[in-house]
This record gives sequence, C-alpha cells and structure tokens, in this order.
Amino acid sequence: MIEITGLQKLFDDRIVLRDVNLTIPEGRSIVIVGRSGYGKSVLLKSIIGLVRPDRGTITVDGVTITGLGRKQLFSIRKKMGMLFQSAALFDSMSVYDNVALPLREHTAYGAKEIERRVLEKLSLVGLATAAAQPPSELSGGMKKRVGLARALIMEPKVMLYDEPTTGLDPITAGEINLLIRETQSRLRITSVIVTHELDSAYVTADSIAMLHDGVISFHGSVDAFRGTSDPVVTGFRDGLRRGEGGLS
Amino acid sequence: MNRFWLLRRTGAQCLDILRETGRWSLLLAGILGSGLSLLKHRRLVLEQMLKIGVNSIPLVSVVSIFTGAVSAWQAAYQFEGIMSRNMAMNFLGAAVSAAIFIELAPVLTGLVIAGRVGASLAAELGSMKVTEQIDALETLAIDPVRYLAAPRFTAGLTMMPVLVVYADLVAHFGAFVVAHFLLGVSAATFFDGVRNHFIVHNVFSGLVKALVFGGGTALIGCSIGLHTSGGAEGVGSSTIKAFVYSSGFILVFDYILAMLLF
Repeated sequence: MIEITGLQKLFDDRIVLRDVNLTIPEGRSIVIVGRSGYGKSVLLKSIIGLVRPDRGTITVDGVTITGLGRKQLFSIRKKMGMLFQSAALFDSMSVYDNVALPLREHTAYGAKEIERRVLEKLSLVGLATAAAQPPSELSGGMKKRVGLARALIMEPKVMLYDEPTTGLDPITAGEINLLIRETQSRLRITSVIVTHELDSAYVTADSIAMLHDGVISFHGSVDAFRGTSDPVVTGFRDGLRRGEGGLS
Repeated sequence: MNRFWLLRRTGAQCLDILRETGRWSLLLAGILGSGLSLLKHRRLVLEQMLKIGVNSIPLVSVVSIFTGAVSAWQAAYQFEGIMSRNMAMNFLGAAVSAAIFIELAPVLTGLVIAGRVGASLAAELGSMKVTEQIDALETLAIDPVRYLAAPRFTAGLTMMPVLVVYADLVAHFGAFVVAHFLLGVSAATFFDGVRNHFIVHNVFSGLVKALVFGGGTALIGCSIGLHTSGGAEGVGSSTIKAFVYSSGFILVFDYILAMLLF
C-alpha cells in the first residue's frame, strides 16, 4: 500500500504540489490524470524518492520513505519499478544488458539464471528476439516494452508508469495499455500510472485521481470519473473531447 | 547597461566556482566511500582505463614529441645567448630533461586529458542525465556515484601517471631528434647531460602532479556531467565548462604543487 499525506513541493517560488493526500491499496491500479505541467511526474518521482518533498510524508509498504537516507531508500527501491516517459534505456548497453543490469548488481545469480530470467521478462513483453539489439535500433513502443521488462526484472511490488503511451501511435499505445493491465493483474503489482490520455486511463485504471492546482481534486472509480459533474474533471474531460473534435 | 553588471557577473562566477568546488568535494567523498564496490565493478574500471589511457596515446604522442622538439630548440636558442655554443650543447640534455619531467609532460598531458577526457566525461554523463538514464539507475537502486563516477575517477587517477611516464619518454625522443639532427649534438653528449643531472625527485614530482591532475580532471568531468540540466544545450555547456574548470584546476594545482614539492 502507498499512503501520501500532506505532500508539498515547491520549485523556486512556484508551488507544484500544494497538499496531496492519496491512498493506493495494495495490488490495485490507480491512474493520476491532470494537465501537462501540473506536477503529475513530480508526484510519481516523489513516490520513488527521486524528488524530495518539502513537506508531507509518503509511506510505501509500511515504510515512510520521506527523510530516509540513501542506503535505506535504495533498499525500498528494490521493491519498486519505474517506466519512464522516454523509457530511459542505457544507450551504451544492449537490450539484454539493460534488463540484466539490476540482477547483476543486486543478486548473486549466475549467468545461466540471469539469462533465464531476462529472456522470461523479454518474452513477457514480446521482445525475446531483440535481446542483442542496441536501444538505438528500437522503435518508441519497443523501447517502452524493454523499459517495462527492466523495471519488472526484480519482481517489484509497486510499479510506477510515467506517461507510458505518450508519443506512441494508437495501436502501439493500445498494446502498451494491455501489457500494463496484464502485468498488474497477473503479478498483483500495485500500479501508479501518470497520464493525460483518458483512453489509456480507462483501460489501465481501477481508480482515477485528478491532480489539479497541487491537490487531488477527485478520486474515484473509472465509472465515477466518467459520470461525475465535478467541474474540474468535466473541464478536463470535455477539454480533451473538444481538442479531439478540433483535430478531426 | 547596468553599471554594476561587471560586479554582478564576477560575483555570480565566484558563487559558481564555490558551488562547483562543493560538488566536487561531495562527489570525492562519495567515491572514497564507495570502497569495495570498485572490486565488483572492476570490468567498468578496465573499460574506462582503456578509454582514458590507451585511447589517449595517439594524441599524447603527438603533443609530447613536439613539446620535446620545441623545448630543445628553444633551450638551445636561450643558452646560446648567455654562454658559448659548446657549453650550451653540453647542458641541452640536462635542461630539457628537467623541464620535461617537472613541468612539460605532466602539465601538457594534463591539459590534453582535460580537453579529451574531462569534456567527454561531462558530455557522456550529461547526456545520460538529460535523458533520465541517471534517474533510471537511481530507480533500479544503483548508485550513479559508485557505478559511473568511481570507475571513471579510478581510471583517471591511475592512467594519468602512466601517460605522463609515456609522455616523458616520447618528449625526450623528440628533444633528442632536434638536438642531434638539427643542432648537431651527439647522442652521447645529449644523454650524458640527461643522466648526469637526473634527479629522481623530478620524476616523482611529475608523477604526483599526474595523479592530482588525472583524478581532478575525472572528478570535475563526472561532477559537471551528473549535474547537467537543460537538454542538448545543457550538455554542450557542461562540455565547455568541464574543459574550462579542468584546465583551471590543472594550472592552479600546478602552482600549489610546485610550492609544496620544491
């Protein structure tokens, strides 16, 4: 379970997160939506300790991570995985080495066992045949899949996804959404997904939270999100619809 | 234009130097604290030794041979102004050799490494920073200081003395070629001068300088790279900054070490 209480984060004098309170039950998938630049990624990075909040607490799996030293933070991070918006693959390594790195660093497994686990995770994301390729030869969707395999290799209890489908074509985005959903239900991982794409949110979420003006202004089931008359949510939803209508 | 522009700019630059010095110190403390992780990452250390050391040999060779050559030519010109030609040629080997061991090989190799390695480390790590690869390492519970900075620092620290010893030899060869073929100094006269005035302390001081310059350049390149922000433009700025600060570091510490060692 992840519990966020009274979280505040300022960059210079700009308040990005004002007072975020959110509880994410174990094994559930929550999607955090909101406009670009409204602090969704900052919230996600705060959960894994990449961003230090100015005030408030975050508890992951019973451990309050805010204020932890590096060593303790690293030990908590071994239970978590994160998929970056850009996938953030190590471009000096092959796909195989990208996925194998955490095992080489944190376990005493031999080469055979590492190979078995890496190929198992690459098969899970449908990329076992791309193991020898460098990241520069992969498409955007393939990079995200490798990033997902790398994040899952240590079998985390919590997965964080930062804009997992942004910049992908609709078919690839749909595949990634299904992969996230499958991973979550098959491995019973607690998932936190940040996106501004509602199509993605509706597929991957058990519940949806709306981050607006530095606070969680709405949190409820997918149906509740679709049906609410909350002006902030409807503005976001309808704004998107208008945008789509304008483009077509 | 604001009349305090120069004052503000100077103040901002001083603050930047202080901030950078603080970052280098913290990074050095982190690297020294990484201890035995270097054994685990010995393959990475060897890779960096290859990149920093072996791959620098062609450039160091060119710089060293011409350094030796020009120093022999200049020394001959200056000696001829104050003593007879015969006496000048007797001292040529000794004078050039001391200059190479103490100053020319460590400082010029240091500046070459600052340009080639310091800047490339900043660009490499800076590029990893702006593409979130450093953050990715953090989320995988891998410490970037231990995994990236410590092997690079160790390689810089250990390969720089090796390069300076190599530069010493090549520069002597360059000086001998000019002395023998252009100035008419016999091999025996040149190398007798080198041998008769050879002082171990000169070589030792050059190696101490090499250790400090190599470690400092790698440290500065890694620190600036790890604190890069602002996309491709930020990587470009970091590359320039790493070369400027590394060069400044080498020149300032050359003076400090000269005061301490002689």
